[in-house]
Amino acid sequence: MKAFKKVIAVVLALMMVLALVACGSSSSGDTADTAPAATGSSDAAPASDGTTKTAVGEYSESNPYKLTFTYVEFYEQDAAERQAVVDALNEYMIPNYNIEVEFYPLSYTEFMTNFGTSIMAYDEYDVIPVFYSTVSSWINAEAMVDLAPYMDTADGQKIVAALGQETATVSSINGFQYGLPAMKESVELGGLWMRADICDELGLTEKYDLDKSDGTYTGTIYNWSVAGDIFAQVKAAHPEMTPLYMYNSDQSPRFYFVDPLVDRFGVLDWQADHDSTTVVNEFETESFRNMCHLLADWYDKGYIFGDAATDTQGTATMIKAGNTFSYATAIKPGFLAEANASNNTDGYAMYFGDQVEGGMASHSCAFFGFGIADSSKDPEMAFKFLSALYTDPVVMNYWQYGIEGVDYQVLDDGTAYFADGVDNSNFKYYQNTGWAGGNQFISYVWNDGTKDAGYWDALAAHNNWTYYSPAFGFMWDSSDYTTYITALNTALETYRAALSTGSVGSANVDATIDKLNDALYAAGLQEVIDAKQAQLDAWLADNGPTATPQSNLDLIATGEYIPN
Amino acid sequence: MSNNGKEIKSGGKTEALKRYWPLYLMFLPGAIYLFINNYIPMGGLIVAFKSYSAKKGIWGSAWCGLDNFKFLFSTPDAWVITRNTLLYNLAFILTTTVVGIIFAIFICDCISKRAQKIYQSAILFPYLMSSVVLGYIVYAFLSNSTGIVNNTLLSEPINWYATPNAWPFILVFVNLWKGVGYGCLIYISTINGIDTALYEAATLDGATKWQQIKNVTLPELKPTVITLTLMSIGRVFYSDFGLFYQVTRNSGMIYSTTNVIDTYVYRGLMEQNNVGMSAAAGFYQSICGFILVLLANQIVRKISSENALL
Repeated sequence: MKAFKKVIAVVLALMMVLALVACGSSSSGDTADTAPAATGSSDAAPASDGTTKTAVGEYSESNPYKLTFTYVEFYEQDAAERQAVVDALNEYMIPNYNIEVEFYPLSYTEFMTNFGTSIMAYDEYDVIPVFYSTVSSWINAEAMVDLAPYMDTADGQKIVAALGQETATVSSINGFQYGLPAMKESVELGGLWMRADICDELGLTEKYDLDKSDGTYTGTIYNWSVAGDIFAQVKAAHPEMTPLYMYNSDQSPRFYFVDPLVDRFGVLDWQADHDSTTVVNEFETESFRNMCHLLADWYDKGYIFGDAATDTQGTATMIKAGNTFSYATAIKPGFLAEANASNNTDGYAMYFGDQVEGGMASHSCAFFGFGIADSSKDPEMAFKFLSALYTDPVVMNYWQYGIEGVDYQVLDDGTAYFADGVDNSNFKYYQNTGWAGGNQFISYVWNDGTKDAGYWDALAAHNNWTYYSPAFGFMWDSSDYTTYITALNTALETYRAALSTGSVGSANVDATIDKLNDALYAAGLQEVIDAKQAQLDAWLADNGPTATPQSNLDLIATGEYIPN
Repeated sequence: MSNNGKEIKSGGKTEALKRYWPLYLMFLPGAIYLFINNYIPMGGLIVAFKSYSAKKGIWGSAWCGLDNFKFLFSTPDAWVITRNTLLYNLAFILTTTVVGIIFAIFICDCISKRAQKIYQSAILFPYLMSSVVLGYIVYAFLSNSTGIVNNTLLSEPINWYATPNAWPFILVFVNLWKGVGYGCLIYISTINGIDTALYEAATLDGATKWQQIKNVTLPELKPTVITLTLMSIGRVFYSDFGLFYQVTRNSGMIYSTTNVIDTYVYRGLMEQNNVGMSAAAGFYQSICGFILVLLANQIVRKISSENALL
């Protein structure tokens, strides 16, 4: 045993020494305590002598700032063509911004799993993609630049002019602005995608005017009980078919609206009161209970896919398999063409909800976006590029669609499409991912044959069909409560899938909801609610509740709710 | 092994070095590899005691004591996940060892060499399968709407993925099916290495097959069993993540019998990217495993000292 102790002692000592050697060199990042852009030299264009001065350095056309632009790539690109696009973009960027860009594409999986580790390791990045629910840990680890001071500069004001004050600053936690949101439709509105052939056969198309809609919301929204009747008809006519496909993905925003205040542990119950600023437990609300009962009833009647609670295949796979009638989904203008293409089946879109038009909450607006990594050598220059992504169409078009004439062409009506000889199957460069970051509203509309030049307006107008949460602009800072959130997530996940797919069965709904709430309170829900309420009250004292614009209210008043 | 050790001691260390230096040289690349890969990263464990800041780095971050460990113990789940992890692993060790030995003895007694090879490969095959594939095979049996079990064996379908009490049996069985081949292979090679003279002598003495197994095969297998078991005990606080995550299809309703430390940490921290808390979980598992190995080794030493590892 003595000899063994010696061995252990030596090994431990060596381990410590080596660890010191290996890790001691990693703290060199904090050399320049980068001061915000208060130096006054932050005009968008370079100064008259063609140079850009920042607190860190001075850049010119011959000595541009080398910037890494990290973003998520959703389709596979040709690496050589991507480099060609970068070169072309730089021919524009260097004289106009004194910035030389380098693209650093991530796959979505990389972004969601590995990228956080890289951020935590303080690897050098400039502009990076951000996702609202993981970003608070990045802020907490001092890995993000606070954009708030930069918003007062000329570049910042251009962004505010383009996005509006509220949207421009929505990605803020405790006064720390970590990023800018992607410009997209952010309202939680949706319903069902239904197979066209079955709808035609059962006369539903005529009854509900289904063939008139391309997915654009016109104010007509049906109560979910109507869907129950439709499923009954489908079940009767096609007993072998699954009327409603649900899977292990939460569709509760389709059934009722609450402001989840980022993480659902403590919410504002809009369904009960649009103006309420009292943080309550979502899983004790009437709306939640009603949804669970409705879904469990459907499940018992055989309307819902039997393996819903554990299934992860996704809607397109199931629809293509040919045995499924419908699925619940968010819907927006242009939705139908995209859904039909990915399902390889013709379908109709129908809006369902519970007497309330869509809701706009901080998280739905700030979902994806771009921020600046604290490891950036010159955050001022990074902010200039970020600003270009939101205000300069040339930059957006290069990044999104590539080189005009090679990768895409501008059609007569001002929309863009693949260049001659290029299509969806053989393109070399084509992102079309403006919904994940940047301001796509300033770029060309991608005309896949179903859209026109007015598409961006239609998307923006979709956002008008919404009530704003009084807490719009507030994001809660959970960093002191990570221990609680971990336990709460486990408690919720234990029961969520069974309840939100109905597979728990009608007889067990109430008992299971009770169990869920017991588990949540045991995991510290009350402490989290209290903390959230305190933060929200402080935020309200500074900002006041966000009001729904009168134009939105007027528009919503023209809508038609069909209870049954 | 222990004999060699004694010789070295009696001869003095320098002499041993002189005598065995080619062996040490051969050992060197492996040692360096282990050092770089397994020992240096251990320095990172220090993060478990820090409030991690990417900007300040591992050494610059502020100390936070045991705060990072709180999430493992402050929750009502702490007891459940620890219990599940321990009991499942003990059950796994027990079943794979017992069944592995039985299979090994059967396979070694196959007269046809060809059949031996086939059985050996067949039993190893599931071990080489990824747990995602394994998860889908189980799903094919247990799925609610299209599962083989619900559609052929049972008149009244059972929602398996919402029935917590069934899962201890399902998981132990699935793990056995998947894991038995690996240990079995090692037992087969040990049995093949047993001096055939022992069996011949036993046969001459009129020992039955069962007596041969009991008095020759099993005692000869003992060192292998002890080594393999000690190694598994070291990992008793870890669990086969794929088995507990993929095979259960991450179904919430059965967490009470399927949530183990690894899946709990994964679910809890995947969202949060909390470096300190992840390191704390790993640290906790390693320390517990380390203590368990030492304890188990002590016990083995008491029972049969020549088989202890250290």
